[in-house]
Amino acid sequence: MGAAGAAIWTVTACGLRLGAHTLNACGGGTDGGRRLLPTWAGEMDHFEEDAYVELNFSPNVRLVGTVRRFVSEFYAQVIGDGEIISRLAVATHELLENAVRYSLDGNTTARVSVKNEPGAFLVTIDTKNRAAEEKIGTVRKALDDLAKAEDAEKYYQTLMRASAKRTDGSGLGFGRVRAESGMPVTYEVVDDVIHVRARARFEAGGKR
Amino acid sequence: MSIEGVPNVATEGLRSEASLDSADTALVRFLGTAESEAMPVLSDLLKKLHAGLLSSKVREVTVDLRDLEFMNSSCFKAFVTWVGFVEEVPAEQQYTIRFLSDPKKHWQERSLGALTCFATHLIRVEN
Repeated sequence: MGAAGAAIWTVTACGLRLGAHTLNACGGGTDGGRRLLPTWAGEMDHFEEDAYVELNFSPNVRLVGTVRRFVSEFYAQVIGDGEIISRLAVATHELLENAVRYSLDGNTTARVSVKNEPGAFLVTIDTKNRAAEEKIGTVRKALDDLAKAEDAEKYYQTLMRASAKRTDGSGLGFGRVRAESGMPVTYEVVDDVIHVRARARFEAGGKR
Repeated sequence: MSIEGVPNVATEGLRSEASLDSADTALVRFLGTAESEAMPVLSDLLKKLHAGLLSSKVREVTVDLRDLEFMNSSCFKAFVTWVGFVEEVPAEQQYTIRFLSDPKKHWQERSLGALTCFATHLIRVEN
């Protein structure tokens, strides 16, 4: 890596046109001189999509906003519904920010994909990064508690109450993805690699 | 007229302008994006704003978010904390918070909806 905080990107995409750049490669990509994370090979790594973009990058928190804008353009190209795009932008941002904060070695892989279904889009956002055991434990607890909550909005209010007293981050990110973006969040841990996934089916017209 | 002790903020991503617009009302406008690097500045600003509004005996503050493109959860937490400060003061000193939102920025409706549920008696949202 060059200067501290410098970003190294590889982009793999399929089935989309982004701005002035048409990205045709499906699979592959270089490592930009860095070791990439293990390939998507866990239980959760079964992809069926019509379009996706995958980014391997050495992120810092400041870069997350750039990635959000980049993938928002992807969503705009393949979905085109402003309400859904907004939900996905929030979810992408929060998941990436968590991945950046918890990354052990500064490498994160993010993949966003869309499968067209009759009158709907199945959208999946994945992040994968290596993390210290303690950080993995934090993510496990946050996501297990979120999964147990029957009412996402009420649980989000509980998290908001707790966040006002927290000094170590907001603790709101995953709850926001669930409540505001309407996307359940699951995870898988293989060795020291944590794979987080938000997935939801959105009806064309903005409903979930 | 400026609010005593409340600076205008100008970070790389986020700008804010705060003023008293009558004897007992104030206006704060946010522009840009509120992401992680802006969080410490925003958090500090909202603390100072709360103190300034109390000392100015403001009854209502309008928070104009119409030019705020995005807010992450860390910055959202700063707003949650601010609302918590208002809840903690005696009722006769409390001020209400009126958010102005842009309906085209869909995240605002959802985030401000959640914030309103947090303190329905203190917050209202208008387009």
